[in-house]
Amino acid sequence: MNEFPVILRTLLRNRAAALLTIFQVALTLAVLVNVFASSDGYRAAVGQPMGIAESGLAAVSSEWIDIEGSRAPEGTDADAFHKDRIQRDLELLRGIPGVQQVSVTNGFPLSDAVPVRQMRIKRDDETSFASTFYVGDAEFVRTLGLELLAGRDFSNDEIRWSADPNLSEGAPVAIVSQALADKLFPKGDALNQQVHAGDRLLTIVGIVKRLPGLHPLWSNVELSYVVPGVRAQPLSRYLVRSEGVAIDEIVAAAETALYTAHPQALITVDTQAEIKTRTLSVAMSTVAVLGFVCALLLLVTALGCYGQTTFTVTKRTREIGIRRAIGSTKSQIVSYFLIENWLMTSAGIVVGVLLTYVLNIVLVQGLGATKVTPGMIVPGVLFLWLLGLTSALVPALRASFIAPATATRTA
Amino acid sequence: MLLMSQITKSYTTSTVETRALSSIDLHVRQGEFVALSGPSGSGKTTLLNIAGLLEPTDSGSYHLDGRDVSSLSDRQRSRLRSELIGFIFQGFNLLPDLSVLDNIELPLRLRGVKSAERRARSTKALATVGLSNRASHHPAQLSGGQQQRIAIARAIAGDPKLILADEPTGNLDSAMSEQIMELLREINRAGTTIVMVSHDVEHARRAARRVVIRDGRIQNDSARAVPAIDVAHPMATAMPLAMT
Repeated sequence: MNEFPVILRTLLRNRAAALLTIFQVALTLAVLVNVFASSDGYRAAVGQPMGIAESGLAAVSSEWIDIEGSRAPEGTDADAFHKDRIQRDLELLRGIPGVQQVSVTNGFPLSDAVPVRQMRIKRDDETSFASTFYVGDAEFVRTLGLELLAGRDFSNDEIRWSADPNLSEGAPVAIVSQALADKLFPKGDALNQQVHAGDRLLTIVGIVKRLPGLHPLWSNVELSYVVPGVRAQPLSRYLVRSEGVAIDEIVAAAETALYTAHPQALITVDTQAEIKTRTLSVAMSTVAVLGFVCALLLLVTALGCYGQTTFTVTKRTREIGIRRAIGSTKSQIVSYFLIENWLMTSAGIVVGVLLTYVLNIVLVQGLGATKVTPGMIVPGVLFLWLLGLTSALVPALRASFIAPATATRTA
Repeated sequence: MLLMSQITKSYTTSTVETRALSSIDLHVRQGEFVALSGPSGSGKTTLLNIAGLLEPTDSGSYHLDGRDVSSLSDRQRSRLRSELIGFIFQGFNLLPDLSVLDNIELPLRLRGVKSAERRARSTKALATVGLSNRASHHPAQLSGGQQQRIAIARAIAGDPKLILADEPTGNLDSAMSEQIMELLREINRAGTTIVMVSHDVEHARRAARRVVIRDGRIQNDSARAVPAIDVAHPMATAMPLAMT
């Protein structure tokens, strides 16, 4: 380490080549840590409980399809037809042994296929909160296994049938998640308050502890609300809660029952866990691709450090000979190049930490990515230090074998 | 100071073996100023490299300052070079990215000398060569003569017992060469042994002792006319007169 200041001054006089390595290390660290943070966020999202009793919950979709594009069979009233169809579906599902509750809804939690509405306290408020919008019947809260913290559940009187996706004519009440209640009314007095949900004015009649929303990786996943009602439309969705029977058996029985009742309908039955996994699969594929890109980036960085040190050793062959001639030992030569590499890597790491946070801010704001923590940066820093030193070791060892006589043999 | 006996050295490529030195016997006493001269390819630089522990010998024995260096490890040879020998090269061999002071301090850094002592010794050496005002300059900002003086300062900063100079005036004009030679004579007068390779007959003639090498052998040694043995040297008693 006696040569540390000399190495630093030499590097400062040869900035151009050093800057390339510094930039490469900085970029690698920034990408590596952010990819790790994202994948860590994804992994956490996969395993994180979202406030619903996921096991024992099945999600059933039944879509009445007409090849000519009609909403209902010719000569029938569409609303009445679908109301009747949905009621029969509910009866069929409730009749399956082991089924405890069935609820009709407009979308499944974490399925990436639920509408979102802006929630405001006043109609002209500039501040609004994008929240997942559920439509559910009186069984919705119980079927999902939500924990009602305050207020009440929907009554059967409030459940109205409508073909309108917004349920404009429905009962003007809502049950909201605790997170949404806190956002709208930070003082904690959300119950019985009125809020604007899209174009509708709703009164909050209940607050549940958690109600997961559109996507597990969405930053607003905890902001959700549900209004009472049933949409009489060709596509209907049901949540099925089982008790005492394996969910797979319920899934199989539900498929059979609905196919038998509606041979022309498109029936899909999944467990809630499968829906969540499917929603995350795109993200996980992205992580896998990014992981591969990171591996390539690390390889390029390792080759860069190797190439930089090899270039320096070749360029300084005579200088190394002079150093050896005036008393440098082989280990001092190796140390010289390892310290030089460590200095460049460290400078790259300093820049890289800043770049990591800048990139993370952009990703968090733009894509709702996971925030980077110091605990994610430290392993990245240690790994890059190790990578730099390992890559520089072979050329550094090669340098130590340059003969001291090189000082007198080359012009 | 330097005692070589039956030193041989060859360089071998895949097809050719070139004998650079054959049966060299050389004894240089403490405080001598020896000029090695001879035509190109005669083996002068090889002899200097062996004397400076830059290259191993193929055979023969070599004692430096009383130590048998034939069996030393690479690390021990490096340490010995650092502590005992100062090098002056024809091409100056200063490190271009280091300042003058950093260049002079380098051998002391490698030896692990503490910062304050290093600075004091380097500043003194710089003053000796008369370039104190150039401490923060870089080699490229200096003339050839100044660079060689800095190289001499680097060589003497560690108070070496032996200075090995390979054509120290080879790249300089005659006026500057004269200055460098005078500087070397001053250093020698202070007690440092100097072995200098020189093409310049005039400079070689001014050395107290002249050794002429031809075809890898010592053709003429001016000291042979007045053989003298360094009685303090442990090998001296075992040395035949012909070797001196």
